Amino acid sequence: MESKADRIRRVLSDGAAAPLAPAQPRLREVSPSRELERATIDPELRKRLDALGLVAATQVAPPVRHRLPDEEELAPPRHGLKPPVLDFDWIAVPDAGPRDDPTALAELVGAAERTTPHGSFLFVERRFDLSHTHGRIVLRDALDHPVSLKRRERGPCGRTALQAADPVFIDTETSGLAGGTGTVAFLVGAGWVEGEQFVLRQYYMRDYPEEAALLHALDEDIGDRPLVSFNGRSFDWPLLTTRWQMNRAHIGAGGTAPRAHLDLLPSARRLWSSTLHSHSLATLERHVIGLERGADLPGWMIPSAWFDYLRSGWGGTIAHAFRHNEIDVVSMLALFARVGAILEEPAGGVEAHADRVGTAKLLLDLDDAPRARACLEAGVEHANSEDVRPLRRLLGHLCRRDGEWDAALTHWKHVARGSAFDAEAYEQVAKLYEHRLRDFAAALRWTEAALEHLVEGTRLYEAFAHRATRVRGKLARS
Amino acid sequence: MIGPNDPTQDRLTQERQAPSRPTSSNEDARASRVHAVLDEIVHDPGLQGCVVAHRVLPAEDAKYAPIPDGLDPRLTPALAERGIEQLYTHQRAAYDHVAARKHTVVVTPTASGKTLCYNLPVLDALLNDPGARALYLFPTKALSRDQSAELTALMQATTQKSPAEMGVALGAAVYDGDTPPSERRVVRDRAHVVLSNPDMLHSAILPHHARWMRLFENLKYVVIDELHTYRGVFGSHLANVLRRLRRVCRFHGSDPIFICSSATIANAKDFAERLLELPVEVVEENGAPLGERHFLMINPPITNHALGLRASYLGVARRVASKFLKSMVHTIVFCGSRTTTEVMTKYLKDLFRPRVDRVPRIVGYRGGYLPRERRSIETGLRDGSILGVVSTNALELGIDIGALDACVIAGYPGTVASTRQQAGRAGRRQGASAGVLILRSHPLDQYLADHPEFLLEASPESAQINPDNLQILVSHLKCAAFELPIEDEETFGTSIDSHEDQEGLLGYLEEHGVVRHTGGRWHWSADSYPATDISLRSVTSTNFVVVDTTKNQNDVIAEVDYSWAFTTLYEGAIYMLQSEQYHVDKLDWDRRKAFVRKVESEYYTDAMSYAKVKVLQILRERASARPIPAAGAQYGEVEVIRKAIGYKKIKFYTQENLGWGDILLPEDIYHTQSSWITIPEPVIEALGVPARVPQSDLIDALHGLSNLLHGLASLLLMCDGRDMGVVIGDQRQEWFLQPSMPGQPGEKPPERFEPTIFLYDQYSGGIGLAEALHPLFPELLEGARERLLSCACPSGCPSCVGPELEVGTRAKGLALELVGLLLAEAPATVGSS
Repeated sequence: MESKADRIRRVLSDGAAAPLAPAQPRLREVSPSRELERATIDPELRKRLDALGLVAATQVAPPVRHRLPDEEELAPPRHGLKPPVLDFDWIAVPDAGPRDDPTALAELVGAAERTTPHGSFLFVERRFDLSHTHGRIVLRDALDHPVSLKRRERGPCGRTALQAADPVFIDTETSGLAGGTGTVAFLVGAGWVEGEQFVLRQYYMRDYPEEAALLHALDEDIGDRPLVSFNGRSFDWPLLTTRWQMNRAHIGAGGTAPRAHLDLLPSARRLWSSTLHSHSLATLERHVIGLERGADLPGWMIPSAWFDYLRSGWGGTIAHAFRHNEIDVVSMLALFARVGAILEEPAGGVEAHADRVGTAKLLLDLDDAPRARACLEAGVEHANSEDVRPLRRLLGHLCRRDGEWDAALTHWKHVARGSAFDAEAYEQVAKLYEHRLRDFAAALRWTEAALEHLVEGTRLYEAFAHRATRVRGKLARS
Repeated sequence: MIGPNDPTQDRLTQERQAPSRPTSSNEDARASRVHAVLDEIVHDPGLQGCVVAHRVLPAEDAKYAPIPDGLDPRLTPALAERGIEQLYTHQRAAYDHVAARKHTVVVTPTASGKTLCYNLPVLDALLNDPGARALYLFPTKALSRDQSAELTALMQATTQKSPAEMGVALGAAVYDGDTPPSERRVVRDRAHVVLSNPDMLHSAILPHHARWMRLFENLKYVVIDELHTYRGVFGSHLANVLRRLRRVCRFHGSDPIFICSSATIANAKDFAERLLELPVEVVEENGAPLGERHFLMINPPITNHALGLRASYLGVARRVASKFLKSMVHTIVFCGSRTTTEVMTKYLKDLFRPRVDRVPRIVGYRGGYLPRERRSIETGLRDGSILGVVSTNALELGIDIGALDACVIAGYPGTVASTRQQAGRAGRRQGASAGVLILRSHPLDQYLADHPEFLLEASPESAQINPDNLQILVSHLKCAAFELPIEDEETFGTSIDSHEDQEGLLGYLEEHGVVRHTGGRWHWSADSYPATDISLRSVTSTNFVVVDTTKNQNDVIAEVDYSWAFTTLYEGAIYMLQSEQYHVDKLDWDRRKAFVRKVESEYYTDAMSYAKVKVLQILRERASARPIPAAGAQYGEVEVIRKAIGYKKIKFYTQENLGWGDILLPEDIYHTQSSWITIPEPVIEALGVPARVPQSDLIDALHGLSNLLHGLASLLLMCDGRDMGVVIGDQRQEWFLQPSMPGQPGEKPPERFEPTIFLYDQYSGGIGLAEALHPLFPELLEGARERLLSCACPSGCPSCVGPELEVGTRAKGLALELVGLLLAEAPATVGSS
């Protein structure tokens, strides 16, 4: 019969296994058996410190980041799509395990010790075939389309787009969410495409002194390759940069070289701006990638899970962080595939809830106005009337920018004809008539129509009244 | 001497340092207006015999030294453009010390061109090495903005005046809570001089020092302006922040020179060395010229001889300020509290109310006003469009408010240094200026009325800090571990008693899961950011906002810090802002919001609170060399419980009590240090309690004695009276004397008890006052006896034990007997009691 450890190893190497009952991760009370160099405390001093209640203020704060309830994550259903059944499963780490045994965690997660000139650390490598499916995504799909970079993402070489085969997909698990020099990245996941495989490496420090070795190896592995991350431009990468700087006396400047860096979070916020209320990776997995994580260690518990490991040496909880981190990295590759597909064919049936206005705005950020227009125009053709007002509004601006006055007029008139009064649309129509088409009679008609909707004395009313006076003058002179 | 500290003249751009410039007719006119008003005050029949001191300090000439030969050639024309052809002696001395790589403290009056003392060596160094960096720290945001503008102008002048190939574009930038996030990166990487404050250094810069690598690797100078403001808790915190700063500098390989400036304090060298934990050179001789300065002390006339009551000091202050204002003399009035500031602003505005045309602008200024409003007041003062300003000590610092001619101080501010700083707000390099101190009926003020020389001649206070206060030290040890792991052999600061203590503290933190000891280092090991839990200035950092609901606008009109909220924002309070009155309708304690509504009220409110103490640990039992024969004096750590219980409604002008209200607020609890004196049972028996002296009289006597001891203690320790609290209780801390609301008599003490007077530091953690007081108890009691014997009142007045109405008729006599018994001599007697 297969032993538990064998089963775990098999699951780790296969990447797929028969579903296990999801275990609810929980933190356990553990005896501080691994505390090494204990200091002696004068009893008088202890009494004074106790009386002052000094440490109470620093007790770990209660969790502040709660996951939104599922139903709140999705905007009112309008696409009629339900999250598909998951086709990915992972190991549920057993809620027990050997204590005080440094090999225990290594066994649980299939890790080995890796040695560097600066010491050793715990290292995991897993390889996924590109035919592997993650949610609804086949990993190879990521190779189909490059993803363009915004100006500030391009790095010193001025790369304008990334192919999935170029970058390192990177994610960290840290000892805190506050940042600052007292926060360390104790687990780093980095993945990249190598031939027909996606290689995923995890770098884990079993205690603070292993940090230099971890950073050295990470730097060695990723070199100056470009990066893809999820919120990494503001969190993971600055934090890693800080860690390299803090250790530079031992290991040199390390991975601080400037490079191209695509952060998928801002793109996701654009693409699903109105269709998803939350843009956490877990939400995107559920609704965009089609993946249900099942039991997972929530992000806010990860720091205390590591501190717990430091004190007890017990790997049962922290192993969940390895799984969490691995899914994060693989999901980034899947998300890269989705984003690439949407940006490549924005005019086609936009998939996976993507928001057309948001998609168009992202394309504009990427200096791709033609595709932005195509995306919006396709949306106008396909959807019902109330839906298209935001699309036409953006189209109105774009057409005007391109000097297509008649097209702009058409879009703005459509917006103006909507059920609710829209001052901007009236203003745009009046402006186009007055300044571009020089049809002052029409300009006056639209201005006066707007005035009927407005309350006298408001700033908006005054602006339209001013316009009316001016247009009347022009009309009289023409 | 009371020096004129006109801050504008500290600003290079404001006035040229040209020698012997002829006095303009405008200056003459201003000086003669000041003289005329002084004449009026001295001859005012209403103030007959009230001017207890009038000191005139003659004008002083400037003392110059040449610009140093080695100075960067680009600086010379930039200085010349500002009319500076030579330096004042102190500016040159500071330059020479810094050039010799000595940490330097410049102690001269504010009007003396102190800014150049640090700007000159710093700019000189930056021009020679554009990779170098400097960090300037100011106690307030307003001061950093002020200085940034000036420094930038000087930097630009050096660039413009030099040929293009020599030009180095130096940049100075403010980094504080108001710096937009988009600019922060630029400040971190590009600014040659970063101007900030200790709070920002503590909470945002040091914990992210790796991002500030460019600054810390190249940090050559740290400038700390207004060093004297860092006394007490704030200073004790700053000393620890500087320990952290130097650790971080060492890590990045820099070793900056510290240049500090300070107003006059008694112990500048000791204080700076305690704060910096480095040897410093002190530059004290002022080379800047000074105009003629008048300083008057006025003791309000006695209005009721029987009760020893004097006219209200606020009334007299109003009378004196009105004289200046009516003669169009630009005047600043300092008041002791926010409430009196607002009341005085209203009074002075009312003065000009009937006039509808060209009403001179009179404004209030205090903490709690929004920054925008404060900026506009500062501008109005500088350009002269505001004639009068009424302020708390908020304007004591060197914020640029322009040239004022007169200063009225309503009530002794509590310290000699503060008095000089405040008086110095009036006074310029040329022409006459006047400072007038109006004394209150407090024992302290009345002592000064008897001994004006104390104020005029004594050296100002020593500034005290205690960087090793356990609470403060542990807080910063946590921050230090967060910033860089603490090595086993490393000592945090120089004055930790022993290395084992530090190990014990870190071990304690490890037990609580905050740090982890491994590989010979203590690593931060918690999911938190310790600096956010620690405010450098007070116990709690959460401010209350005041929301104006008049006309449903819901505008935030002010911010009030936690400890003030207790006594100003309770429901029913009249909250005053720019002398407008607002009724506090609702106080949302949890969300830190007070909802107010504008009203026309004929009264203002004054909160009453009580305090209790609980002894946590006795640290010292007996007072040093000279024991008090018949009393126990102890020192230790205590818990203070403060609670506001009610408020009085007081009518404007008449001060009539119109009624009472309850305050329903939670208790404020903090740990601090206290020294206390216990009166043992035999002494109580010897006094004749209860046969000869009923217990209620004993309590009156204790009340009077504690008033007196509190005032004398702050004089003895040379601290502000508000730094210490006093409370009377029984030795077992089961009963405390509390103010009672009408109809609710206070709790009675147990029949037999050993009365104890607790004097404690009014700051969480304590700042060393109680500790310093403990060995001084014998002197304190003797001072009390001397004051009781010399006070001419028959049976108690505000100048000794307090007014008879408050403490009863027997308090003075019994207090004297009590002190006599404690000092174990035959009880003295007071003739008339």
